[in-house]
Amino acid sequence: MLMIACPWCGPREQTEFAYGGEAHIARPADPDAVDDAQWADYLFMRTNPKGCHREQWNHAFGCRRWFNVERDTLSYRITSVYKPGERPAEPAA
Amino acid sequence: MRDTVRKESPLIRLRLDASGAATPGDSILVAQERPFLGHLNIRGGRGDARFAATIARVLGMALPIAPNTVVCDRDRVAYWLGPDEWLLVTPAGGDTVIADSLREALRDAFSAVTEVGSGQTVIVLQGRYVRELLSKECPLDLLSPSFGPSACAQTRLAKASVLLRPLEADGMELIVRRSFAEYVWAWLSDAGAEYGFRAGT
Ligand SMILES: [Zn+2]
Repeated sequence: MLMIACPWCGPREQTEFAYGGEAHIARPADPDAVDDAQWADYLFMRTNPKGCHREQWNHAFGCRRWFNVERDTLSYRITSVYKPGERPAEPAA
Repeated sequence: MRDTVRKESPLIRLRLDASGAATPGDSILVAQERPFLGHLNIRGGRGDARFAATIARVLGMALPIAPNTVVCDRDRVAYWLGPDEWLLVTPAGGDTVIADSLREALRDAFSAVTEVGSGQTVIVLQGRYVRELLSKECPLDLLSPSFGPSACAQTRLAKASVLLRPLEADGMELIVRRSFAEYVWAWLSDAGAEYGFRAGT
């Protein structure tokens, strides 16, 4: 069970949240200008790292806001939580 | 036509009015529905300083700015729901007039005022073991004294989303979706049996 600190509500149990996949995936500015492979890459391909991962969460049972979490997929340790449009503190090397 | 529409509480099938009155006591946990109150969902204010001022002028009360807090003013309660979202609960029938005035005052602002009273209802619990009961299936630390009057929290109770507000003297207010009201009541009466759960009138 994770304790996730919603940027607005503070620490809440994981069961209040919904996971939203990898963060910071930008939709191509001009979808007509990309080929099928690039579009498929945007839609389906994710980095799936072992280690530091930046991902989206929604506080579904709470304030219902989306935000970003930086989490180590190996240790499950959360290293940063930040609002949409913000950038995380650079992770320690 | 308007007079012929009969309002029904989402708990009408439980026939709570026929279940006999109970009053709060040391070992008794009393639940009461407060149906038909006015519920207004208010959205807006992102990067708009006039929004809060306009609301305060129309309502004569400010909306809570701190997350998970409430502002009470006479018979109205404003709940923080999100950084640009609030719930205002008013006496029965009071929401329509307020909604009209707010919409008029906010017509140039990026905002929305929506009557949601038909979609949710209020359940009030009273008794010494209210927090123990809710703690069975609520992930909040309800036994912490920091969750007291002037706080509120949207959270989970069993499989339902609820908006909780501590009241004075061991009370707790639950605002639940209409479609979950029977489920929440059934859960409360089952989980509360060991505390002497009773329906109050
Ligand atoms: Zn939240």
